Amino acid sequence: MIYIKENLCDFCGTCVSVCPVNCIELFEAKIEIDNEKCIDCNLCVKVCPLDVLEVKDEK
Amino acid sequence: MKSNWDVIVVGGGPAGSMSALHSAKYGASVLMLEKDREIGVPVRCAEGVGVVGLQKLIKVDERWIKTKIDKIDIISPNNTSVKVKFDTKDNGYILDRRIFDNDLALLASQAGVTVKTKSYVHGLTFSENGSVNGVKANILGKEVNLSSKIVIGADGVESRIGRFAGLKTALKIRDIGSGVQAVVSGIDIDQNTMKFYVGEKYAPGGYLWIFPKGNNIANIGLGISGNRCDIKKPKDSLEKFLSKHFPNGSILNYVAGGIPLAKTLDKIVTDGLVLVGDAARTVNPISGGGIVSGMNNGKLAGIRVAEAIKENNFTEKFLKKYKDDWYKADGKNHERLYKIKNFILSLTDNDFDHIAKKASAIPIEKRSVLKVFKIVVWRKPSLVLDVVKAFSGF
Repeated sequence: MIYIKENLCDFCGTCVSVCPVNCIELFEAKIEIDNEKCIDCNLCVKVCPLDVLEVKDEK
Repeated sequence: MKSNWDVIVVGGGPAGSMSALHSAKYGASVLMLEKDREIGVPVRCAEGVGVVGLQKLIKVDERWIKTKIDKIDIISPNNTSVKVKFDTKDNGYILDRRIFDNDLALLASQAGVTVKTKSYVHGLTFSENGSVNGVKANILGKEVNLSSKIVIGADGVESRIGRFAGLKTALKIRDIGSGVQAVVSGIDIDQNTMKFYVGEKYAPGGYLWIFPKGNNIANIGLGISGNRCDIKKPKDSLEKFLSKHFPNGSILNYVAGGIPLAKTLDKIVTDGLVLVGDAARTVNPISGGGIVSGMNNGKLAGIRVAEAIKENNFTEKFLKKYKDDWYKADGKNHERLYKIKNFILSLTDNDFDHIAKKASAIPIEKRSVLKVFKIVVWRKPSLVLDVVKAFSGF
């Protein structure tokens, strides 16, 4: 699953623009990832300008 | 507030405002919804525009202009500088987007558009035949369903409105520029030159920019191609550049942002919906500039949308006229630029140094953007015609 370091996030939407399954919601100062819909492609992690997103293994 | 509108515009940037303004100007009732608390903020933009392009669209107010640009300076990895002086027709402005975007929304409101901020659209509604007929929104904390004849998606790089209607707006990873920018003060730079640094050490698959804003302030930022972001992270690269070149500069503002470096989407209209600006991928895929092209695109959409309202025809077939207008205006040129961009992505630092050496050997009074780009594609002659067509009007 994808984990957000929200205190660093600038809510710029770069992650949203590449998500192939549209599972990221972006509000004015909040971001939510629907990990049920997420297919673990990790494109969002790769393109984040601030390196805010992390992949965490499910336990 | 009423709940039935001819047109609902989602997003209050320049493309949204222009589409709203022109829809209203030709008689439609228009609501424009902006998710953030203030139009024009945060400024996720380097703020450069061409003077001629902007003047064609709107009467320019001096308050929007921070500096006037008459030359560019491209710096290759081994520090070879290629300066190009503009002809008057190519001159640029660095804008203050905070004032500019606000004024565009104000002009829209003066033309009859109702504007609301802190208004987040999280879904669309559909009629029985599948046509878009409204939005689900949260306006100042209150959940509402609003109905419309046509929705205009001007929601920027994220472009979720289109996806809600089944359009494929997700960007390929090689078509997103992952960007960061700092507004830096206390630095001594030429106030009329836009500087571009190319190469792996600055921005793999993209470039680093210094755009002056007057009073020893500049937008300094960079965009890295999405598929190269594992080599280098934008924020680390900018930090390194700033500490080396401007160690004493103050940072007044710091933003991140994605830049859609694609050609316009194949499908930007469907029944009851059109996409405009960054959401439709109308940014210049080489420069990353999208203000004027987005405004022009928004204007073309607004005119056709108003026509559709008058004729009571909101079908994809009718709205496609807007797509054709756009293709003729800039869309076709962007396809050429996109081909050239894909070639540029294959260039190495050695290639850039070689190109810079050849370009700097042209006497400065004869150097032009067109000539520089002809050298850029020297290894791929099949692109020369595209370069000539794309840049002859530069």
